[in-house]
Amino acid sequence: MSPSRQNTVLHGKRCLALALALPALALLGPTRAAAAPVDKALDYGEAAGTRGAASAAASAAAMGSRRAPPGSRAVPAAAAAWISVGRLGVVSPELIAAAVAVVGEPAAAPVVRARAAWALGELGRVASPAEAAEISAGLQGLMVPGLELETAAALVEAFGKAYAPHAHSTDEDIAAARALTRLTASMKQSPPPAAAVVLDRLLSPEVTVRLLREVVAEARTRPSPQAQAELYLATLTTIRWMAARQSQLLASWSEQQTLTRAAFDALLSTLDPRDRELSLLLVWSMGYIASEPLFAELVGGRLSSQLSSPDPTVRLVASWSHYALRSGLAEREALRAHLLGLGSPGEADPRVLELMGALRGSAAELDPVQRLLGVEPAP
Amino acid sequence: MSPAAPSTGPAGRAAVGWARALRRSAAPTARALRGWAALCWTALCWAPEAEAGPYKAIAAAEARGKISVLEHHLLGTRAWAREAAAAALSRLPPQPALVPALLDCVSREAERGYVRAACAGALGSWRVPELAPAAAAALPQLDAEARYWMAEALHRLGGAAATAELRGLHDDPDLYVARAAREWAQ
Repeated sequence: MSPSRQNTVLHGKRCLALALALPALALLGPTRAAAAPVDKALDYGEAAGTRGAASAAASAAAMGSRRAPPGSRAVPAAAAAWISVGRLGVVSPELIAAAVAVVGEPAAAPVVRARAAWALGELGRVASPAEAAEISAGLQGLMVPGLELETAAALVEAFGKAYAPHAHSTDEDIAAARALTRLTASMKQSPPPAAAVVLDRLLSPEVTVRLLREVVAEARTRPSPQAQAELYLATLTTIRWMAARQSQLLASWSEQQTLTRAAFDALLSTLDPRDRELSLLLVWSMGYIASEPLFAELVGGRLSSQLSSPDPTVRLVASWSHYALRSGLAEREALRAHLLGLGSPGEADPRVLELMGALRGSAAELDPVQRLLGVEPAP
Repeated sequence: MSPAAPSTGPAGRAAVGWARALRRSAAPTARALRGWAALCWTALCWAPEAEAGPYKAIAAAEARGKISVLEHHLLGTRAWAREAAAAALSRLPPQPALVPALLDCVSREAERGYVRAACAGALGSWRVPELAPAAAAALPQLDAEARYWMAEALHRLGGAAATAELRGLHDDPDLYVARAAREWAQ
């Protein structure tokens, strides 16, 4: 065969090989290559309920524990691997430890940390009480200030799944409530909705009062922006808790009176003339939750001190709250004395008087100031 | 990256040589090969979902509104792909032709709970009223996570029948299901 003929044959073979190779390359192109790890990670979850579930869970956890910083190509597969772990429902100390390590890894992408937390929550739902305690303790230990929203939301939700189905002591509930308060108080965004659900489950009358007392004590002894934020949150939590259970507390008043008094005492102990915002929040809230006469008797006296605050805004809100507590005789008298200037300079701020004048249902009615001053209705 | 970037191995050098010869040659075979390569590349660019794994294929099909691909995965063998296809469908406009398959998915006891919930999610988004009785029958068979998403599907569906089902979940043993059902039934 001549050299030119040999070259032509070689060229033809190369062209044929290329023609066959191109479709194969197209099929095994970059799209397919990039998709494979995620598919593989999700495929582990297909073993749920089979004999291969344990080994699949271990493989998925190993895949999910690989380094996956934000923006890296490993992120989708690692996140998918934790979904598989959660679906497989295989609980073991090694899996729990691996997932807790990823949730607590600040260098990992938030979505991976969140999926690992979700997996822990799913495992917590099917775990024995001892395993669930291990999971919830691991998650509670990670409730530290500074967590970003996605991880924090998944962590709190997972904690609730593992913690709520089992019985706990009051001390455990208080520790959990404090950890939740610490985490959510540090967040710049609105707390995750799951936090309110879990907290609601944790709070009993005793837990609510002790939580607030502990937070108040810490804010007083070790003041810091974080402690102050926790104080606001704990105060709000107590106010909401009491508002939601007003009818329950009243239905069993003889048994609940002591606890209710303790709750109001704890709330009113947060009143601090140096903390205007908290005072305003509390005084305003009292107008709502203590409008019931039995409650009004418990709070009215201490709330009256706010009527002589040098801050006209505090006096404005305090006047409104006293009006809301009007069913209590002592409060009515305190407000009357304040408005008339009996034993004090008297209210001179036109906004306070205007507010009191506006608190009437219709133009024909007397306003609270007129009533307090004994004005006779026009014929 | 430049096509003339230096290759390190012999295979790389051969590939570059082939590519150069193919590009410069005016022979009919070379022209045909260039056309074939262009066709292959076009096929990849226009229909990546035909070649990718289910995860990317479903995402691409959702982005392009390729219902047939989503239907293929909805009826496929992988549970997670069925779930992903149903979730993708829930974000697309209603597809009446797929309603029977989705209702069957919700009602199938042997199906994974999360797939049933995802199918319910699509029906809820499309406001298919037959979802309410199918969900009512399915709910007692589901785990807590699937119950939550089934309840969410009923919330999307809305209406008296769905609200009645949600009221039935007010005392669910799971705190999230119970709380969500109370909120959604209002």
